[in-house]
Amino acid sequence: MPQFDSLVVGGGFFGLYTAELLRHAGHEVLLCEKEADFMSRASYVNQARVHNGYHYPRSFLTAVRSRANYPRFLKEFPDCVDRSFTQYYAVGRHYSKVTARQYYRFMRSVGADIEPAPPRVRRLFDFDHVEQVFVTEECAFDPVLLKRAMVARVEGAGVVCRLGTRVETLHQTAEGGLRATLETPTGAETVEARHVFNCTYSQINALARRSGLPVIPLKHELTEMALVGIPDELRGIGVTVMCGPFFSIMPFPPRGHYTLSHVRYTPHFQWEDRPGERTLDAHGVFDRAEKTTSFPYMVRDAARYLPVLTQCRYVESLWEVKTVLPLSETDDSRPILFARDAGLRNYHVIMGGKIDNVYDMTDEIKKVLSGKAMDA
Amino acid sequence: MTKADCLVSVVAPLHNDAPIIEEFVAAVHAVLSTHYTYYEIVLVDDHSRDATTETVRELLQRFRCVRMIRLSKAMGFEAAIAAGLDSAIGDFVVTMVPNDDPPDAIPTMVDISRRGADIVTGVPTNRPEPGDALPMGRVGVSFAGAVASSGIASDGPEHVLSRLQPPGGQRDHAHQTQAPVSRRSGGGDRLSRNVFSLSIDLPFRTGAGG
Repeated sequence: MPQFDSLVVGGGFFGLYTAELLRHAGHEVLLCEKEADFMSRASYVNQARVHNGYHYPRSFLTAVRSRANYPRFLKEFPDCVDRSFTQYYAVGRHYSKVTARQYYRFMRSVGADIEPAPPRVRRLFDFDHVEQVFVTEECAFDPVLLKRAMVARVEGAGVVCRLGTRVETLHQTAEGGLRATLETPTGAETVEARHVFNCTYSQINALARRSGLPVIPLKHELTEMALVGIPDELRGIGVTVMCGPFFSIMPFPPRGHYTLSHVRYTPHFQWEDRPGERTLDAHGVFDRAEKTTSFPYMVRDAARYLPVLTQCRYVESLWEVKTVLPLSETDDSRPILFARDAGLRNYHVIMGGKIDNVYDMTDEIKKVLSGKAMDA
Repeated sequence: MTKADCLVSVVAPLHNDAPIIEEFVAAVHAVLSTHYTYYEIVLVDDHSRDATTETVRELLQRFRCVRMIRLSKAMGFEAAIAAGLDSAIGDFVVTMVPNDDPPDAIPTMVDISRRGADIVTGVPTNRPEPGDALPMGRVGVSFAGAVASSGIASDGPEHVLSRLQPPGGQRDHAHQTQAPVSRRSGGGDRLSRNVFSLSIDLPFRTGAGG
């Protein structure tokens, strides 16, 4: 039976990053991804925003962490970011949880660059609906370029990668290791590893359930972003309206179009994984869900703030399951989940809500690796 | 039957309406889902003190098209309608008072508006004559109205917002009131213009007067 030091489950951005980290720590690493390609699910289908704090005017810690991670991400992946546009944050006049003044002062207090937008941009907005528009410093990442970069790094480091391979179950062996059954394109296989890292995001509890392990409380949403062609007035401009039931429109670099997402219409329905209750396989829910676009609603509401959006051209919708920790509901923060020994010794669960908080995770992994007592 | 390719909003003010709201929403939803692909029901809770808020919260779980706005204090139903109009995203907005206005009238009113009327006002055919006792329930006024908002459906990025006046004088003569409309363009410049208004009778006979 093949033996590894670490098995990483899930080949999204966090799985790839974790696998490389473990390999550099000297581990023999196996990485299993159930899809036909890496970073093809939630690591691809998301806003592609590299957060720089502007999204979290009600969570000081998240804003500060986000601002600390932003330059690290840009430095580590300079060729994977799209800086060809300027990100504008507007504050809604009604129904916003913060006022423009509060927003401005908060961003200044966390050291973020923020200035009122120039007249040529302000002209695009309806000030009956927005209170103020700010120019900010934020960019997007290209998930396809990021995938290429990460796959090259992981393979270069010598991680064994298996695509189309789903980790079915995990069990502790009598010797204290972990045994995994894999479903591969050519049939079932078994491998052993000392450590297993579950980096499967919305699938975290699916593996736990198949293995009889404790469920981690998570909330899932079926989400839709509309991919749109934009009018010329919006070239080079990304817009996010804060901080309530508003919307965001910004470039989606791999497709050359923009994504339009809306707080009210992007989530189509939601469900929760609760300990002690039967959990649903999130990708199973995704596959079965009826997917009728909400673009007509998104664009009509968004055009009240930014009238030029009536000239958007709908291309298609990008659907995915978005998973969050229930505790982040109240303050909009996106903490990472790092559950060490989550029901089995040396079985760890990692979940990051967004691409750039990968750096919050690395320290936790290093702690696991240095914890010799736990390896014995 | 092919469904109309437009988004219709129904705005309804609520005040201590817990007993009737579920039936109203079900009836409106039945009409909207039959005639339109895209629609929303904006319920404006005028700071009810009964179980209205809780009832609507339950309805939010059952009907995806329902949105709720709760006013921070009781402002009267004209203000509630104005708040709903301000939040509605439809190409056509129908304001309805639950229990008084017939949901079946929605498609006809919207059709008339689609053919060019900016404001369509419904008039109850069974409204009381002066001196008659008012019908049971709320005040004897029916306020069904469709307001066209040309944001997406027409060619320009214009919005029509209606600033509703409370019906002047006797409240059962709502049909005589013409709501002024201001049409806005993208940058916030305001233009006044004349409004082509129609009154129609409810339940409908033929065509429209006005």
